[in-house]
Amino acid sequence: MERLEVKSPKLEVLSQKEMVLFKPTGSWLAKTVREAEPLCLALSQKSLPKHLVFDLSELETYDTAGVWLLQRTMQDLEYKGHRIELRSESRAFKTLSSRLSPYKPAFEKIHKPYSFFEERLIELGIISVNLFFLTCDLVVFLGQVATGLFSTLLHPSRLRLISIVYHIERFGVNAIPIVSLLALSLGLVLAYQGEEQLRRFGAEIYTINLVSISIFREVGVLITAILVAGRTGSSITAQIGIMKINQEVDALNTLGLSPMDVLIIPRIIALILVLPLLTFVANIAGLVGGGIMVIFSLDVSPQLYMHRINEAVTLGSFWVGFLKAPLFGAIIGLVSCFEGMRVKGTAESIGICTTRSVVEGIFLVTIVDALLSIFFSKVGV
Amino acid sequence: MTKVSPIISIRNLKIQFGEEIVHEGLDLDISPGEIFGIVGGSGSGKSVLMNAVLGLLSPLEGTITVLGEKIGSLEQITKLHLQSHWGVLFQGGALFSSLTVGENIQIPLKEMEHVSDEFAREMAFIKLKMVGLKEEDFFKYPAELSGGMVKRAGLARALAVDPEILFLDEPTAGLDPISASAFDDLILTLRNNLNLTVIMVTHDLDSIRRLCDRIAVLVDKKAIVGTLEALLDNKHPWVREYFHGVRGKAALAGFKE
Repeated sequence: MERLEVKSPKLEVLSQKEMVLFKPTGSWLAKTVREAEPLCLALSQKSLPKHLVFDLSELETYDTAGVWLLQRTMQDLEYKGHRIELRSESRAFKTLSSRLSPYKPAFEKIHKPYSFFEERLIELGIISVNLFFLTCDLVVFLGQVATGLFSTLLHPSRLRLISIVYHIERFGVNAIPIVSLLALSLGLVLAYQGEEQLRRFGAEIYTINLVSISIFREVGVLITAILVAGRTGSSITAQIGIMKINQEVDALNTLGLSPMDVLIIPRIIALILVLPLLTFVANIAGLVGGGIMVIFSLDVSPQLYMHRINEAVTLGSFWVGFLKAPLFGAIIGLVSCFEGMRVKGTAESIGICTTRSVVEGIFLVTIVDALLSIFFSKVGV
Repeated sequence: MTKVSPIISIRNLKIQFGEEIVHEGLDLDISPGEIFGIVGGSGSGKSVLMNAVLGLLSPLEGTITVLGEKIGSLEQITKLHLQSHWGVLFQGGALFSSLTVGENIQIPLKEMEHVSDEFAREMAFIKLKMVGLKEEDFFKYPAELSGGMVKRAGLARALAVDPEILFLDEPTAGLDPISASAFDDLILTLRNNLNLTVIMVTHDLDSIRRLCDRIAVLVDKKAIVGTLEALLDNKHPWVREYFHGVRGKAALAGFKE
């Protein structure tokens, strides 16, 4: 128990006629530096005579931190033109301090502060350059994936069926509950808002058209894609990222297995297959959600609801939504694998890349969806 | 060894994972100032033992006392107090990957001792040089370092608060013979200069021969403790195989004569 006792450090100052005597006492340890440092800093404030003496006879315990603190103080005073005399220096103190003496860290050359404006400007530059190279890299990666996919088409035996099926289960089957729940509530919301507006024209029966068409054309596929980008995209990026840090990706390469075939293609194919199926589930759930609202508040029979949907939704509307799904799946898979392969070294980089994977995935999906919407309306589907 | 009160003492330790018993009835005493080696086959629980002493996992039975304080029964405050008395070098270095080497070394100083930024930085520089790294390594990230440099940086962090006890988990594993021998030198000088007690888990027979005052061999869920000479005469088949096998013979050739 007594070993844990540490005496607080003190610095006695005895003024004599021509000189000042300093007597450090107590424990000068890393654990007590917090108390000792102000004592030493106070020295530099005082006006002192030229001749200074440090008497170490009553210094009880010390370690490198304590020794360095004393030595640093002496060096500072010497630099200011004082003459330092050391008294009763023990052998152990000497060996320790001789190990530290060559260490005179110079910091000034390393720190070169920028002004606030300069810093923002540099940041902007870095961001723009990075964005440019990011786009280039993504295009290159798209090319690699495309050739990879093409060569698997030529050699179907290289396709990893088990891996694809496994990922279909993880990305698709396991996502059904949350996708349905989300689509169901969105269907409810749409129907509720639409009915309130349409009622003013006495056209509340058209709520059914509004709900069914918007779900089939846009909402079903978009909400599925956004959910998958968040749920699956992040997990793909994190997994591939950790595999990169653990050198598992390098190990694959040395075994003659290309990470493209083993890791990336199966995931992208799984996503391309899964997203249309999930979209279909989301569409049905959305219709059910809208139906609940319509049937209960508009007093429409379920048969009539189905009938109206049948009239409102053309086959074209169905395909417009449904065909976007595999495209979105490919985008999400591409971006998340790309970001996963960009992970480098640190734990922080996994976090950054995962965030980027989700943000870029959702961003690209939304942009492409907007472009396609314009395209389809111009074509007149 | 003269009889001084041990700095670490373990009594009747039992550690179990599920069905598997790792240690049972293990006793161990480590005196201040010695370099204590822990050896044993893979899966014999060397790292488990170290983690138990560090309080990272709690044993099923038995007591571990470090510097007179019982591990496991520690209040939060005394635990913090105790933690500034030991430094740990993990097998993979366990440097914080999002911080530079310099920041890694400063962490214990700033978080535990609350010294000023300037003093922390200077101490970090001193420790960096002490373990044989260069000034420019201060600003590097762990991902930019070689394996040997990671170990040295980890050691610098472990030494940051001038601990009394230093735990090393396979310090020379994965180093080339020259770096390994330089690392051994470093540990010896540090022990002699800083009054350290060093506890090292190792497989390196050269390090054991050069550094260790006493060794614990973990076999049959217990520890067989002794000096290298004593262990060379031990009759236990695993201990014989360990020290008198092909590698053991080569490394310890000429030791007894």
